[in-house]
Amino acid sequence: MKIVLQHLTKRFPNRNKKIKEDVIAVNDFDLEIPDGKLIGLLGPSGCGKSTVLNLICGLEKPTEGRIFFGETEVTDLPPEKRGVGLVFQNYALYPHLSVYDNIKFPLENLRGSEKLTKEEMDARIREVVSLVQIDGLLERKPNELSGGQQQRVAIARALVKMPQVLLLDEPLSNLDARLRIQTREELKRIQVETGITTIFVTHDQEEAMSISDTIVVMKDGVLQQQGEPQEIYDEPVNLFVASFLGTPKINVFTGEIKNGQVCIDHMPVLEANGQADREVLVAVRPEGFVLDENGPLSCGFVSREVMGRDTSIVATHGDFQGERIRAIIPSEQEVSPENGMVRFSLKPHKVRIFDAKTQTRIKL
Amino acid sequence: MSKKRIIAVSMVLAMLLTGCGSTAATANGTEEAKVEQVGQDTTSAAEEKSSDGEVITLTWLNHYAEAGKQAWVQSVKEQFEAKYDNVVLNIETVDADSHKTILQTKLASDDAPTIFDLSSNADLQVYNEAGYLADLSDFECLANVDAGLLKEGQVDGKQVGIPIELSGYGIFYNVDMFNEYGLEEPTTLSELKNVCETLKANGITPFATPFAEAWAFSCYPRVLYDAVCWNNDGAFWEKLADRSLKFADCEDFKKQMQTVWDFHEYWGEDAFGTSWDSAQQIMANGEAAMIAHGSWAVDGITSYNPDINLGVFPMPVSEDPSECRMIKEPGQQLVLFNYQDERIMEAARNLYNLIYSQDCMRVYAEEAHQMPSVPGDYNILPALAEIVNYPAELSFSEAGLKRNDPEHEDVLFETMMNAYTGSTFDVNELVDALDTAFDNIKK
Amino acid sequence: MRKIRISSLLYILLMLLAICIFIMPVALAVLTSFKSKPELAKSILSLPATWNLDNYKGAVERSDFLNSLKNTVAVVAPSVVIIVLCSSMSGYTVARHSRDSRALRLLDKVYLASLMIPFQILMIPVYKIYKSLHLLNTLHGMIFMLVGTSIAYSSFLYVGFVKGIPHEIEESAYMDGCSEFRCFWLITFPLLKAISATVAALHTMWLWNDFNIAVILLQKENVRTITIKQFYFFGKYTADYGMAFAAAILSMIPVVACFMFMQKYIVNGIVVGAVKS
Repeated sequence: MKIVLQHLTKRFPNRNKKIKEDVIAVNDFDLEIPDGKLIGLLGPSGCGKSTVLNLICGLEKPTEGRIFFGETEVTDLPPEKRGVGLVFQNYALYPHLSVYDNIKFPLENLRGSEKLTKEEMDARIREVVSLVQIDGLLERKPNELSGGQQQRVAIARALVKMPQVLLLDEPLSNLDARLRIQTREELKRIQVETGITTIFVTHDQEEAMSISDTIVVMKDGVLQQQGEPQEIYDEPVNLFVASFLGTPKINVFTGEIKNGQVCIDHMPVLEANGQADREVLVAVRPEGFVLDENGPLSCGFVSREVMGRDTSIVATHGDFQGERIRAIIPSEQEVSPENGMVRFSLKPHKVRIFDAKTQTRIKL
Repeated sequence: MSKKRIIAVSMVLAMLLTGCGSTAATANGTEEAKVEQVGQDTTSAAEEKSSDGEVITLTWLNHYAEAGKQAWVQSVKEQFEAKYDNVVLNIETVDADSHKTILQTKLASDDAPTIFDLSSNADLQVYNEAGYLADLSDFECLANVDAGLLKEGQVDGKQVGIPIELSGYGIFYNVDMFNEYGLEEPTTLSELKNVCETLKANGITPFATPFAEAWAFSCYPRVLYDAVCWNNDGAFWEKLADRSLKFADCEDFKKQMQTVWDFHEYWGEDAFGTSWDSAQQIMANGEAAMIAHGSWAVDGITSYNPDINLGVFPMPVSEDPSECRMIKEPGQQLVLFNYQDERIMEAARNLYNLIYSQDCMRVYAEEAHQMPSVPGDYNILPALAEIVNYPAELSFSEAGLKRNDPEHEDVLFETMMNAYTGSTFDVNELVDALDTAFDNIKK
Repeated sequence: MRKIRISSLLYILLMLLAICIFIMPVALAVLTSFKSKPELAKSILSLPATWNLDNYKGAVERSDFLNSLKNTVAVVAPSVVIIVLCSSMSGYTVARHSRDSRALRLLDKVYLASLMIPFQILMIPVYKIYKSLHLLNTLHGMIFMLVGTSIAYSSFLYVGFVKGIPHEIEESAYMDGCSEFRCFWLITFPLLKAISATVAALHTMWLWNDFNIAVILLQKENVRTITIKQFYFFGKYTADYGMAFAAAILSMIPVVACFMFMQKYIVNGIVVGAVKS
């Protein structure tokens, strides 16, 4: 099912009653989600991504704008009529019901022509249960399950009604690190098997990158960029997207374009043919640094951290925005600081230039 | 004079302050509710009486929890309903502590009981002023009641209440014990002292002293000061309250107060920690020989020891035997709500005539162990018979005399208790404290 | 090692002492209920000479025990059920919707305010209203009054508890096509088990012991509850402690039995109430 959001805006009255101005959670949000894909809605906490999810599932009504599922407008439909399955961050399982009854609950609420017989319900439940692989747990109560199991139950409950859209709110944030990786693969598998258009909300870029077909980056209620994970990583449209994606974080220096060259601390680091002179921000991925005795970038050496496959060099620079530069170099390379300084040159395809004022990308 | 009455009177005053006395409306409003067609009243026994006439329902609100008194009320009901056609007597029994509250709620809600009891002339005045009380002056039963006691039920020359019973105050004692040690009823203070000495020498507590409760404590000085001061001057309390008389100028009072202290060595152990219940038990099992109290002590003590043989004598007040007085106080009075309906009044008159007959009072005397206000030849407890028959010249009847009001009474008891709890006692200090306290009330 | 033993011994001794102190009044009541009045006069602490049941017989007869027990149960049981049902709903509504509704916010305050009104103030108006509605001396009238006077406090208790239940659980039910009413009964109410058990237990105890309301509303013998029958053992100047305690123990038995039976559920309720999130 294709999902289209048109000029979606959601305003809340300010909780602080002295301030009359509304809080804008989602601002003029336009998005088209293709059918059958797994979409990661990515952004820092408080950026409005959960609100977008609530608007899609119908728990909240938009202040302005329209929502379409396929060709049908669902803006004013109540949640249960939209054919949406929602998995809450804390799973919201019914603690007093067994796993089986939890999954059965949505089916029991079906009315009229949709009403199912006991056998039909049981068949449907068995189907999702084997899909999410929780066969042995049906008689247990939610508090007898591990976090990962609880989540599978929550997903099964969301899927049992055969929704056209599945929404997951921070599906992995309540799990420990090892389980997280396992579960995200599981999510992908389930999504692929069912082919349901799935949107999941996360603030963890790695999670979003690893399983999404498409990533949507949000900030302050505004859509920043939509695209495939690699595309967004490689071609961020602005500094926010660039620094939000990737670990360790992208390194940002203040610099300038002068005479067709990008300079940091007056040292030319990159060619910038045909670009007018101006103040810029130079963002370098950690893997974009190359140790070079004659390199243009002279940094104060702080420490060297062995990370197994790679080595991370921590360094400082006068024009660096932030505390420490993190550069990643192959581990076989020796680091030999002279007078406490190391010199780098930069890999051009790992460097992105942004306008200092607008923070938008300058394509070289 | 019990604590219950003190509470009762103060509640009536509180009720009047909150303005619950819209008389005429109450009287008229309630009458309709009281005369009901047969068949409408499904809860009462009215239906069982197959009669084509109207059934008059009377309600008697009482607080008689004691088995004997309940038997009496039931016998009144049975006799009344058997004797007259088309009458039902509803008995509503509530506990003594809630009695006044319920009475006031009912009066304020146009649901007044037909007959109920009040405990003093002061109460009668308050309720009469609110217009609640019917005039009983022409009731035939008045002729049966002890004429002396009737005075207590009169307000402004009208008879608005009729005492049911009489209470006596004196020293109640264990007759067998007195006989055992060859003791006689003392008539002078020195004889009383000798009695106490003998008892003490034999390891018996002379006086049981329930001084933990103010009302029970008050019986002790009362048998002295009422017998002397109030007996000599009926306006004694009135004068003290309006301060035209001072305790300090009242030599008799001071003398009696000193007498209270003079006998303190014969009080029980931990006198001010002893409750009325334990005092009864101490008397019942022979640990103590005497108690200065009201006549209900006889029934109370006997209930703990049915075999005890109790007697009573008036407290000696001096070395002159002729100055002793047995104190007789009129007890509760039955009053009739002021209905404007002839039929109800007629039925009520019949009920009164029945209650104040020797037949009914016999049950009251013999089962409830009371001293009925209707004289008669009843088989009552010996000590009670002694009070009833005590020679008039050696008795002091409080009927019709103005009592101390609750506010003054509270201060009086409290100040006295403070004075007697210490290890020393100075009568002048006591009377000064009393005068100051009474002065403060007047201010 | 030795030190620990001494301190734990001390602890046990202290506990035993505490148990004795707590058991003392009950034990005295039981002892007294078997004693005749003369025995009581001799000693309060001694064991009764014979375990005679005269007091119990007398208590049952004088207070018409079976009838008043029946009345008490007939009044308390429906009242507690109604209180739990109604106040859970009202507490839920206030907790979940007061944000959007000024009226509900006000209701919350009204609940609080009504806790400050003693029954004595309501007594005369209530009596008048009941009289004109012919509710005096009826058990259902008594139930209305007990429910009415209790519901503010119990709703107040529920409000706090409902706020502690994650809203997502209900949202999830709405997503699953559940109406609010159905969601309340199927999802929220079972989660309120712990507080419901508490409310039920507290009110069973309070209503069982109610005296103030019963004494005003139930003045006919045939509708009286156990508590107002107790005064039959206390005259103006006399008290029949043996019978009074016998009656008290008899009237205690059903409610204690009820608590023992419910204890399991109360504890269960509390365990389930601790939702793992």
